Amino acid sequence: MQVQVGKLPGSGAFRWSGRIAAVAALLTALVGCEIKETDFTYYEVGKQQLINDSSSQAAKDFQKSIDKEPKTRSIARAYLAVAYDRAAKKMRNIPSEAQRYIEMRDKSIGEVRQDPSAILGMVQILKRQDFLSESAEDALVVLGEDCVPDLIHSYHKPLVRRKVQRVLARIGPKAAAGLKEAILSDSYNAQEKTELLRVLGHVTDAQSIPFLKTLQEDETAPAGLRTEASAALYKLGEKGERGFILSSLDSNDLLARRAAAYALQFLDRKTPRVDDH
Amino acid sequence: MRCNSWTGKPPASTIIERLSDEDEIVRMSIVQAIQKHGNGRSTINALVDALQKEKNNAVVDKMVETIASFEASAIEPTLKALMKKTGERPLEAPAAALAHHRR
Repeated sequence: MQVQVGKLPGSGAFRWSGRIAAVAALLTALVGCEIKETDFTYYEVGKQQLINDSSSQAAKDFQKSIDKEPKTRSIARAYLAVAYDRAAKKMRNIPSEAQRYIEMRDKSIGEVRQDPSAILGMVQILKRQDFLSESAEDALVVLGEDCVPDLIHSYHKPLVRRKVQRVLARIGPKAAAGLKEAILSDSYNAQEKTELLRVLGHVTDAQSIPFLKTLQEDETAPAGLRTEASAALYKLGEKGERGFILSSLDSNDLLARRAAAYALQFLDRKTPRVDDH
Repeated sequence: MRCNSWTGKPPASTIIERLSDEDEIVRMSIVQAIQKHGNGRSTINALVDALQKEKNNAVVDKMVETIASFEASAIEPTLKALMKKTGERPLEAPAAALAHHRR
């Protein structure tokens, strides 16, 4: 292509510099266009749409990505479920539309369930510090026990701990087995284990009493873990744990004191009676 | 009638002592426990005392919220004194607590 720069004003030197500049600009533009074309993926476009809160458009892009882009298929599946969840939230004032998106979300979660990499991808979305992590939380709750191992594995990352605790608590008793496994493993430090044990105390039922008793009675176990086990047992009706909890308030072990102080919130609490109100 | 009160012989003095625990998470839990259970005069007074020494903003907020949730006329001067401590931190929480208390 020829570039017409003959009408540029000024000296000959200026005209030459103008020609060079024009050619450089043209080349830059052409190269730039080419790069954009090769980098284009439905997955990236969908993600950008989602970040811009155009969730239904994002869902279309993620669906195309799943169909045409094998490399990012799994993570696109995770984002598709998140996009539908977000769309449902935005439509909460129109119940029929919200319900339609919830159904599409649940269907896409069904596909996530069959794809371990997509489950991991969904857990990774929790790391985000925007509204997408809220939708990921809700989608993970629907996913239920299938995501528990990946959720607990991500517990090493401090940024997601609160979110993981919330999701596990909402999953409920189905999270108990995974939590017990983590508490007994060597993969977590004492603080992480006491925190996971507290979550177990929230989700569990009487079936966990033998597990908790074994832990509480183990004199080789860290004091924080034993006190947290006591607190969980007390919640399950084992009132005999009261003395151990109170004595732990004076422990030199920080985690034991934290567990005991936490337990004070429900220690000796009278069950409300109907005529109290 | 309140339906959440300490029953049996709760170790109120033990709890009050823990308001000065060196760990802020312990102190926060103790305040939450008081909020859920305790409305005795000695507990509230201890909380007011602890409030004036507390350095952690989140714990201060929880203490103020807890004090304000009780019907204790004696706390008003304390909250006013706290509001006069300028330059240390925003005073929205004590002000809100005071407004809540006056309602």
